[in-house]
Amino acid sequence: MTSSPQKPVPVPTPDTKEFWDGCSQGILRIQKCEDCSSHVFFPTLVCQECHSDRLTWVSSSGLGEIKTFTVVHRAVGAFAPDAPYTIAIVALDEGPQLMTYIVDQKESDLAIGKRVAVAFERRLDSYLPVFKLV
Amino acid sequence: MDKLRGTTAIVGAFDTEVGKRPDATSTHLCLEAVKGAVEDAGMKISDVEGLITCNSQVTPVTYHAELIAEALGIEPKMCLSVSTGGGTTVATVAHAAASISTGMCKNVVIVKGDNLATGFTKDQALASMASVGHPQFEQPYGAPVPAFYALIAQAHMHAYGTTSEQMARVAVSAHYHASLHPGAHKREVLTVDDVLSSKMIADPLHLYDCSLVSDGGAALVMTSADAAKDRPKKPIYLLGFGEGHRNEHISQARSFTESGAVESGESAFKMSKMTPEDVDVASLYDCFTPVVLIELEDLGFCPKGESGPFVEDGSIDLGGKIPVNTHGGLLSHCHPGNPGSMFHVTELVKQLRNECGERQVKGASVGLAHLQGGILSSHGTLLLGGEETI
Repeated sequence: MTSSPQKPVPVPTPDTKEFWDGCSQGILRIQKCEDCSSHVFFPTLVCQECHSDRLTWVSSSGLGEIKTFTVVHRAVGAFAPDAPYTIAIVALDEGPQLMTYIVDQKESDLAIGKRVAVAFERRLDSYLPVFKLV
Repeated sequence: MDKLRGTTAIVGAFDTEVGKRPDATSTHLCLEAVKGAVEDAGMKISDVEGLITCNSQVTPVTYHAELIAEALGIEPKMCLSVSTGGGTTVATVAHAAASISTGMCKNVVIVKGDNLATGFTKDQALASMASVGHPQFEQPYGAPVPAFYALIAQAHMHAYGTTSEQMARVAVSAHYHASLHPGAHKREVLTVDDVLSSKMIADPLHLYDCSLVSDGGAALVMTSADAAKDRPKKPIYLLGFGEGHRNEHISQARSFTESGAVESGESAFKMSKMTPEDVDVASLYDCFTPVVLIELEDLGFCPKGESGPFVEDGSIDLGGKIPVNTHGGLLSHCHPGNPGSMFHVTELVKQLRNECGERQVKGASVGLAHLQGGILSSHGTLLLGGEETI
């Protein structure tokens, strides 16, 4: 028996709730180290630069650049009808990297190094950060 | 670590039949492999003191090594189930060497087997593919596994001008080697055009840039260098090993064009007192073609950024500068999930014993295996050699 596939939605944990609450409010929140000023993502308990545990949540500028990307032509499960779509790793200006979609662009406009800005895409009750070329 | 150089050896190696094995469960494949490897070592199953395995993806259990021991009817002094994906094979050989050298066990059998091709239901296969990546920060974007590696390929092309033709050349080489291996899952020869005209999966990776899905298992028997001299086959000594672990999730990688193979290679070469120039035959993890390019560079077989022209010149083909994956690798010999990397090592053992027939690298005396798990996550490098290399 094959169950009909559904796209996964993020299930926040106590460590990540602040991030996903931010996305619902249209704000990209990341952590910042009070000791060395590094920004940190994924949400964690210790700074990955200096290992201090004094991390606080701040708003990211939501701006960054494409580190690398791919256009998915053959997707699986619930994502199959969406192909082709673009997945990228974006480095925020604050430093941290995240996996995301690049949306609303022509494939020929995509390139490593292009500037992007965050937007939020609704999926059921969640909002996923996605990026657009600027 | 350096004092482990040459103190242990592989004295038994065995591959099951691979490809589609609807007759065999993952446990069955493990048992077949142990039986074959123990016989190859001139030993009995009842002689086995240590047993190291990795879990099955198709039928996972909580105590996998104990399951295999129970099925074999043995009560080992040590059971260990290791989980570093494709890199598990290096980790298990290193842990086996440490266990033997410290006297925990006189010998260790390493076995891995799984039946991904025929054992998975469609739902299981989809669920398994969807489980790769961070559940909150990666999985919601629906990247199929090839897309993770396409991110790496795209970065390498951008940084160094690497082309799709050059990546295709890795698959062409693997398929040629597999055509010389009577047991390989896919034995047809490919051209660069065949690769480039196959379906685009995730730009720039085509279908033939991706590895197979197979059933199969393999096992190794290791013992001390002293005990190895009494075994019937030529002992293949462990000269060096190393690990490198930079990240678990690809989105957190500090580089998309350089990997933990740098650290694992440095450690393995240092321990073995060897350099890339000393290596006669290599087995490089090849789940997708661009991975081989990055490994060639990170291990020092060619300068950073020059792997594209390097493979285009035929350097990794039989008869080339450094023949890579003479069995055909994951791209064409077989890829039963985590056990896939075992065949990279059993092939080296056969090469160093001069047992490879048509695909034999003449006079091979030093072999290197570089294996990795996750998306460039968990790296391990092994250097192996015959007695003349100690």
